[in-house]
Amino acid sequence: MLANYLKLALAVLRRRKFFTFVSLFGISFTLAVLLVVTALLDSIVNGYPPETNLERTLGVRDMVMMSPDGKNTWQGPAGYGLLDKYVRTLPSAEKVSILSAEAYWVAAYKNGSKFDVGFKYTDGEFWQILDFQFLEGAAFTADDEKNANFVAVISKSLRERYFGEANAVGKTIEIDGQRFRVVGVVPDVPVYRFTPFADIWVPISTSKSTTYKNELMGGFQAIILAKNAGDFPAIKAEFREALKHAQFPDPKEYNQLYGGADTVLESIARMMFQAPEFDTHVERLVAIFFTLMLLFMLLPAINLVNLNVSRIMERASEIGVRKAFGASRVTLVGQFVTENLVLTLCGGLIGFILSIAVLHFLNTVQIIPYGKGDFHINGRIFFYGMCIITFFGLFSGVYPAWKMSRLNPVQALKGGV
Amino acid sequence: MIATTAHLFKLVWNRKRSNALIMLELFIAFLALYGVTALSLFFWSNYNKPLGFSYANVWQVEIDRKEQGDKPSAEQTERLRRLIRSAQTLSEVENVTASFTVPFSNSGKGGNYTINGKQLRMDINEVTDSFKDVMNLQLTNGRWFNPSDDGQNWIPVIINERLCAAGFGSESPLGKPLYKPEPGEKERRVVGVITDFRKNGELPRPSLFMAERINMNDTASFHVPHNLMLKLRSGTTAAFEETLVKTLQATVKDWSYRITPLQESHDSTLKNVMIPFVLLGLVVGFLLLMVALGLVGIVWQSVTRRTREIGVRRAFGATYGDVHFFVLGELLIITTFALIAGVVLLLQLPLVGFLDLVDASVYAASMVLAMSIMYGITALCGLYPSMLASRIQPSEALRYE
Amino acid sequence: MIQLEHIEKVYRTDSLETVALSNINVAVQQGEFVSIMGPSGSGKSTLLNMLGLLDEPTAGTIALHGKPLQSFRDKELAQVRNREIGFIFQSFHLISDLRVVDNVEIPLLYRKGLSGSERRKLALEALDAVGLTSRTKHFPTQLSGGQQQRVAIARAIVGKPSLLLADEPTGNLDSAMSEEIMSILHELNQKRGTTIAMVTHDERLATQTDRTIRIFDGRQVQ
Repeated sequence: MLANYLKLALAVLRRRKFFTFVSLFGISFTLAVLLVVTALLDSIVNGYPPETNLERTLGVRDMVMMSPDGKNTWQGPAGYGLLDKYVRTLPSAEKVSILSAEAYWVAAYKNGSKFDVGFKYTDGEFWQILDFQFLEGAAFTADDEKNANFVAVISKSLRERYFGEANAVGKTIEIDGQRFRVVGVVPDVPVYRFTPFADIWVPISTSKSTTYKNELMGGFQAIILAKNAGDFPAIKAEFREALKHAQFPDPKEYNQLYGGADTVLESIARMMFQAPEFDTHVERLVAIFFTLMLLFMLLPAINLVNLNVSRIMERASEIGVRKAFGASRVTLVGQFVTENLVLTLCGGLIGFILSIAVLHFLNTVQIIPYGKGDFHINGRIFFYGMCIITFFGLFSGVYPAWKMSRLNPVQALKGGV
Repeated sequence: MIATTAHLFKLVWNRKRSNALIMLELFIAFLALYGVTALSLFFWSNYNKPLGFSYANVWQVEIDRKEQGDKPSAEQTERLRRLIRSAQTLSEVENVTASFTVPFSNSGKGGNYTINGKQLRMDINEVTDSFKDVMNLQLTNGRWFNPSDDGQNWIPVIINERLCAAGFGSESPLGKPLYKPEPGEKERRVVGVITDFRKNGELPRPSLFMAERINMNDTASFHVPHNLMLKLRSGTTAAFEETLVKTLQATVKDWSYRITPLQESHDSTLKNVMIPFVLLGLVVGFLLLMVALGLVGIVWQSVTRRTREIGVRRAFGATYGDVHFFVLGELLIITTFALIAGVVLLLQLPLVGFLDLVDASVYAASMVLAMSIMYGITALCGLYPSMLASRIQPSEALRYE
Repeated sequence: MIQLEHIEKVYRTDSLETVALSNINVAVQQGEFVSIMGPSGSGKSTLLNMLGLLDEPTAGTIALHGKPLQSFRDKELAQVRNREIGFIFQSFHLISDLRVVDNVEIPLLYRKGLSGSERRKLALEALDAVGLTSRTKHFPTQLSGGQQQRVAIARAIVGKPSLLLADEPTGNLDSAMSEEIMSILHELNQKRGTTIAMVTHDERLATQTDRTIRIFDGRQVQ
């Protein structure tokens, strides 16, 4: 039965070349766009080296500080003082690292040419939580941070640009008027992986000023490694409790702090909504994302429905004959659904190939300065893609099939005028 | 023509059930297209308005004082003065100014103030006296800041023509307070009017603008600016950047400096807007192509299905041209129904404050443009099928009984 | 009024050549009611298409009111069809998405200089002539076969053509309805003087007409 359906479906699709082409064009284009977007999001939200521990990592990034009357708010990254006092001390956390909220772009000069370098302050724990593969040398340690040693880990591309091909460990690099001794070299981190990304990482204590140490707000983030994801609720609750009892230098100016220990998705939601609340409303972010995706799919889907209806009307007399010869509704609908499924799957296959090509292009072309991508399709994205295709196939097939099954055989035979 | 048009309307209306999905498709396509045409015309009309300043040979020095907040101290003011003096000693530097915000940066300060009863939102900058010459601003009324403003108990401000027109109409704003100060706040008194200072670049909509004077001798009242801007002699190369950084580092070594030629920030700002816009355009373009191809298929199929109807019309005296017009006209009327629905929806936009974001002319013109493109696309889609239809021989079409 | 001389019609496909008509000479006089008879596939419908100027002969001449039509372009032919000829088909060929009155108006759409109200008036007159004044706002599918064919007749006569061509007008109807249709055609022929050519294979109907042209295998038998 199914083999028959398939054979017939292929025959029909080959006979109606134009319709098949237009349908495939729509399906593959839509799927390719959705897959590329999914792959981009996947590389940001999910764990890729060096963030291999991401599924048991939480982050503290944006906070909201508020005045007693609620009129003044200060939104932005947390300060070192707050993270040091209230995050490092969380009982359920296995390890905590404090680092710059984002990489500063500083200029390095070498042999008369200038290049922009992503610069980040970190501590010793950073290198334990994140899983960097050292090309040479090793990470700096908590002692380096304690003693304010001017040491640095640099990226492979910075080594190439600054030192040429030669080894860099033991050599000195001058950045922002300060000189650091290189202790390690790691592979490049894509710029969109915003927690670990930098070209050069140095101890926080080498900062030019020491005022950061007591600040509640500004410039820093913390990453928290839990024993496993099961400890997340405990860590979140402990941090929330700590914030409620936070001490303020001038309680008349600001006396409330809101924020949380978030997964990547949650911290994106927090960044977008910036509400003085502990909850991140991550479900709202997901809802927005799915709404946008559905909106984008709406037009291709309706287009496909229209083509399908059109295809059916064209074959009205054929359907009439089959009905007259006793084909049941189920058979006809089955035939049509198979046809649509074959079409969708073919389109999906082309879509997959297209999206791999686009991602490959994004990976080879430097869209962002010094930042190549490492986007790819994996099993998870393949699964999402299959879900999208199935949804697409069903959505675009059901209405036309229903319409077909209701076709009056007599009228269908006549074709009407 | 009119007779057949009315007839076609009737036909499309009677077929509304089977045409509904096609109309829905065109309706959505029209809305998506409107998004692109509105953005295009918005950018285009903004791009054609003058920036009001010149960024050639101007470099920005962003100062990171490694401290949060911008409450001034005597020591910081002194450091800033030293930086300005040391930059001025370099032969490549023509002029130096300090300002709170710089062109082509995301950050900036704004405020809502009531001027002559009108609530106005404006961009605010705080600048030193040399700002006008460094940025090459065009003064159209009054005067620029000068050292004689130092001892006043009010703060002199310069406004742009747009703010002048919005707040003061045809009256002269000179010597008047810009808005009523809060208790304990110093009065902002307008001393001059400039054409414009569109710090966000060519693509965003020009805004109302006000610049306050930084009085470097009064540490109590101003914020320490984050930026220096240097006007360089023409012909200065990028190699000077390293010299400049070294000089600044030697002057105040605890601070960090990041130098960007404004040309670079201009280009990257433009790129940051254009790349997503072009991507959006590409996606919508592909969607429209898909809709167009689908439409060709649907019309083609409908012509095949209605061969006999066309045969009947031919028998009763329709010419080739009439049949052409019949197929095209039906499609264009379907498009018209979809566009009417779309326009009705778009007419709600002003109710949700859309005209605060774009000019009424851009709003209207982009609607007309999107409609024309939709008509163009559908007419193009109908061309081939309608040609096929006009070639239908009535004798063939009516042969099979 | 219409004259066919030495008409040949050959249909060519890539491999096949079918002779549909050969050496046909027919003249229909003003005011005549002529029937065309022959078995199916004999070429009688092709002959009717020739009379209706819907098809060009491979050879031979067609003249209307003494004017040969070979040199006419599509636009002129369409005008001639519109003014001079009305068609009635076996399966009615009404447009199902148009109301009865809109269907009847179709020939007037392709005639210049008529206003909407004039068209409406003429259409209602034509419907009155076939006795369908109460059904003008219906859709064709809501009518019986006989009523549909009456609508089709109204559509054929609304432009007041001098020649009415009917291709088995009663072929899809039962005998009572056939009678009704035939009486309308006779009335048109006698009261208005409309020339009618009708294809049929019903001998009984053919005897009611002034004259019968018989076609067999593409040839005129008498």
